[in-house]
Amino acid sequence: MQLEDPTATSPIQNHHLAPRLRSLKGMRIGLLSNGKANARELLLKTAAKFEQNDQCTVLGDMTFKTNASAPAEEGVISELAGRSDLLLTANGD
Amino acid sequence: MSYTAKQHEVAGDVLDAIEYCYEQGWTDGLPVVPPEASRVTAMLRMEGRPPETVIAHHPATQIDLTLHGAAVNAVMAGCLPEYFPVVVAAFEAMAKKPFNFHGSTASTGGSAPLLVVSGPVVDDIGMNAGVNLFGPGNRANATIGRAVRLIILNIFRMTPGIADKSTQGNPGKYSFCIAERADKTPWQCLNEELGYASENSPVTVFAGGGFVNVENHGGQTAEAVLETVADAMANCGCISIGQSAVILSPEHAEIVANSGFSKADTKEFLFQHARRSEKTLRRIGKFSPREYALQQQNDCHRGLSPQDILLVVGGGDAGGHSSFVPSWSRTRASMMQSEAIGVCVDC
Repeated sequence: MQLEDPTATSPIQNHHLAPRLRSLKGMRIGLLSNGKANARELLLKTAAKFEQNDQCTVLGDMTFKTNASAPAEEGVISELAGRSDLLLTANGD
Repeated sequence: MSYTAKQHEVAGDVLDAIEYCYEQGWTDGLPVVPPEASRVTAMLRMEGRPPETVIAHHPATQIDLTLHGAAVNAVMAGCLPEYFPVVVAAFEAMAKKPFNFHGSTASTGGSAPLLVVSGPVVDDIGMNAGVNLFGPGNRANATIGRAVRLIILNIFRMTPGIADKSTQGNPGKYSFCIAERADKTPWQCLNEELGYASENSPVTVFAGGGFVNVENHGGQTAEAVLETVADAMANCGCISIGQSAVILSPEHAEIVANSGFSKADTKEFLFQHARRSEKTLRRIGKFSPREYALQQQNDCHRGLSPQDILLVVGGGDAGGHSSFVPSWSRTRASMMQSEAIGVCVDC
């Protein structure tokens, strides 16, 4: 019996990682929350570690996505990238 | 047909082919109909467009669903060819951005796409809109819903535990497909309410977080019945600013309509009464100032307006049992969408 395949092939995606920072010393950190409960606290506490250990500066405002399971709204990432050296975010609940 | 599909040669009889499908990981846990080529061809003939036509795209994996892929899985689900246009319309609706196909199928929330079919196709293909509306027994309802799940598993790879992270899942993940009971609807039917002509048959998809039975055999006024429904909508486990699907039984719909309530009145009542206080939500840890600021209400209502309620009539003639299906997510991450079937089924 000949059966047809019910699956699909995942396309090859050309994603490239951003170049690694040579040092974290004095870097500016942006915060992007997915809006889930405790995301703000998690990001702030994580950022505080970088402030303490690497003398990083945390941007005063935190950006919130309106939909945790969708990409950030258009322009959000580029705006954050324009005034920070690294972005802290988190996935999941 | 010029489209070349990947084939699997399986030795033995049909039982061997069923086992082969299990071994390949192509099932939902239940045996599937082996997708033999001639059956796939027959399924595609109901559509008319080329088999390589893309009808949905997954934004996270970038995987495309073609008509061919949908047809193979529809065969496996046990669909007859005349059911295929409903399956296609369902995915064309889910592909619309506001439905949030990725989030609703991957989330810990465990929602399943609820399909509500309205219009002439319900009778044309023998769907069940009556007794045991959400239950087993009707081939069209059961297999259309099942085809949706098999496509989500096999094409889009939303594999439980890997891409599908739902904490507990939901029985609707096997099949969650109902038809509107037009003959017992005292108001405008869903297809016309959505702006379609009466001869059109839209499939409405709703990211259903579960199923809540709403029982009331004593209430004889619209207020009594609808307060019961509203209370179910506002239960602490479901209260959110998301959308709601309310399926009134014929008995309940008759009581509500005979009390002088229009469909709009019914939705308004439900919205006004499906609410919890801020104090309660804070006590149980579910209050989010950013979310409820959107409502501009004194209490925390379910949804942002009466238009967030999908209201249809369905089920058997007897029994004071209606149902409420909450939308997935704690916010408004998925919004119901509709798409009409694109072919004439009984021409």
